[in-house]
Amino acid sequence: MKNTLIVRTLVLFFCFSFYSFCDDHHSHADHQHGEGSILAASEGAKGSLFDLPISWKMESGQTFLLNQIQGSPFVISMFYASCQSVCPRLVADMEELAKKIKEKTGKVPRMVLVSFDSEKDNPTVLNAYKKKMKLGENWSFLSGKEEDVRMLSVVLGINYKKISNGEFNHSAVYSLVSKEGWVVSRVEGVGSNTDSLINMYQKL
Amino acid sequence: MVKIPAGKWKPFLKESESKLGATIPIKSFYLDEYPVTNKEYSEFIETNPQWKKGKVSALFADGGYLGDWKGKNYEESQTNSPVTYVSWFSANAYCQWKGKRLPKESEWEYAASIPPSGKNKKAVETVILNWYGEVRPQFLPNVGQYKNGFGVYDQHGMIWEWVFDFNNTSVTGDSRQDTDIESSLFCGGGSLKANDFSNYASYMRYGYRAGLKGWYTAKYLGFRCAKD
Repeated sequence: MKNTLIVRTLVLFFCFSFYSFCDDHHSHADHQHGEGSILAASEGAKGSLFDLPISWKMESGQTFLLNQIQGSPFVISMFYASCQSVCPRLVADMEELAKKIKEKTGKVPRMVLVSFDSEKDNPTVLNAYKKKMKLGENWSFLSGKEEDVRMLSVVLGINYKKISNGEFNHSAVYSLVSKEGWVVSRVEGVGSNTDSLINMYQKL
Repeated sequence: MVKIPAGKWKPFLKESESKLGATIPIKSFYLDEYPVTNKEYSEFIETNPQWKKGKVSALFADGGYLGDWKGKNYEESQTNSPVTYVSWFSANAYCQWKGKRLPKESEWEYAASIPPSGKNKKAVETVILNWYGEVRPQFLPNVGQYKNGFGVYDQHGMIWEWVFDFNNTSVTGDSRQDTDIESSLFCGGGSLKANDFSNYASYMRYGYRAGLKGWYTAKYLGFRCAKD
């Protein structure tokens, strides 16, 4: 806890003391980053997720490309099935979110969860998880190759690391993706306020 | 490529349950001797036109992509200088095209921690800290300036480099969040604990990586590839 704060303070300290470190971007009039966003994931990608050349496996075992759900907005996040602490809360948050979206818009939103754990989380495991959590047909659980999982995490601004005991340290972020594949709203952390995401969904 | 022997490496940031000062084993792997140069990168673009300047999806590179290249090509004098203004996605694609991959952070750091022959770790830190303190040059020098004990060049003193898992630490810098950030944001209660706060040199690299997004490009950010 304390250490994280120290880390943060130090990074900021460095930021002000080493000018070159924070400012080695060209100043393009239309894009500037580096100074304001010296830390952690706080923005999603620009561009369409459908440009990702990745094929996933669904919990049914079928091959799945994200652009197969082109045409309807969806909520996407990453998790892993054996995670005991945050993931169950993340999934509960997403259930709550899906419920609210249905109340507000009358539509059942499509929910997508992609596993960090390429080794353990095969379709069978994910299908069992989906059943155990009693999640409906609008939920898809995807697994894929390690490099593809990493690529998606980069696109979604989710940080993760596999640690030696087989667990993963990861950030909890869910994103609303428009029918064109753009990330139009992001919520970070479990138990966070989802109003803006829901409002955005209504506009889509 | 240089064969990097298996070894032990002490991560700068410790995992939640590992002991302070614990080392992790690194398997033997191959690492490019030099950062990828402008010339090499232009060969990649020749055969992969989807990575041409101005052709790349905003998902894969920001507007700065290949920003130092005038029009379609690099300056002649920069032929053997590291290619920069490349995104993680483009670096990844280049390495795959070569039948290689980006090095993992642990691999890159392990190789980078090896001092030049006959020197100690202090010598490495001196190179890095001098570089941090210098004014950045308008034009990067040719690769081949600084050599470590494994025969790998220029991991320090020239550019920052992409690693495969650059987004593996969750340092959150959002002041709007409360200080209880880990418990709401992390699984497994993982919190960051730096193994050695005196090691500013590495600290900077971790800080730099934490601020990156996969589509960012920057004047002093390049890459090299690795292989199993």
